[in-house]
Amino acid sequence: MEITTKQIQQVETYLDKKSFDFIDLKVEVLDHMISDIESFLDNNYSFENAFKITVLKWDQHFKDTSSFYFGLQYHESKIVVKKAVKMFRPFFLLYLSACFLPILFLKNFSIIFSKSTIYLVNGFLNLITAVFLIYLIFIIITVIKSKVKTTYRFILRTQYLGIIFLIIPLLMGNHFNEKGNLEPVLTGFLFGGFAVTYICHYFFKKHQAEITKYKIS
Amino acid sequence: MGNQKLYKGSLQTIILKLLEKNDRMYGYEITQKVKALTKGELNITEGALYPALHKLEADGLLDVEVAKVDNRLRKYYKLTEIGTKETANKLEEMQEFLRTMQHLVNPKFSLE
Repeated sequence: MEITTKQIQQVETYLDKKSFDFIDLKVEVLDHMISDIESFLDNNYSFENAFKITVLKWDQHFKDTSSFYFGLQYHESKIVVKKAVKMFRPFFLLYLSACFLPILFLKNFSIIFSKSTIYLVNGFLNLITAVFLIYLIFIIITVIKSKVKTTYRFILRTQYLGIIFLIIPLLMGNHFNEKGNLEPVLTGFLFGGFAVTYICHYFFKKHQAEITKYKIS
Repeated sequence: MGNQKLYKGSLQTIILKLLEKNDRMYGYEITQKVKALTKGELNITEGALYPALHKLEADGLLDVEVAKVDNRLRKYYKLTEIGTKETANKLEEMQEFLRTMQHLVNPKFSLE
């Protein structure tokens, strides 16, 4: 039995109360809940009882939770965090590799650059870092201004702090130590910053695609 | 009801196989189809279904369509070209797994 528009609104109000307004998930969760209710109605339950049973089943998915992958300070509904972890897990490894592999490499292998090369490499790295930093700031501002919630927006929010990986090397200006070697920790920061920018770029595109898919302006 | 944990690792293959047969399906439909096909033996919860669907979508194996049905929007999943190829691979892996398990738990039994 098909439920009425007013009854659908009641289900939507329940989701709103749970602050569950992630556009990439809301459509299918709402549809699933309505389908659950309709199957109860087909078995001669009243709408009120069907709604209560369905809510009882779904409540656990809206409990606030966090994940080790993002940090305990970032929490959302369990269903959102679960999806976010699935999406983010491969990038977490990329993030760690980008930060720690240059450090490990440069600590173990000494590559000495000449003064003229140092000047050129510093200039190049500073330019690239500045471009990445500007792009990252653009993403942050655009996403904050858009207000539309998606799982990808949640992931992006957890990555904003990574901007310090670009700011610190840029403020230092010089990426080499006095011996003419690339500074390991600073290089780790720099590659971490590049990884964060790439991750933000990837999820920003996904966020924009979801907005387009559901035609929200 | 059987041990649900035994089915957990096969959920993606089950979804891919269903979509191979049904062109496009939505979440609730998948749960009901599995329930009907297994005569209630396997009950896929939404907590397991959606993370699996989202992972398959992120891996590029599934594509998504949103359509207005009755008085609401519905999200349909369907196989991509890569998804179709991957379904064949996963089904082959599953057959191999079943053969191996069969040898382990019942060595005398043979399908040939």
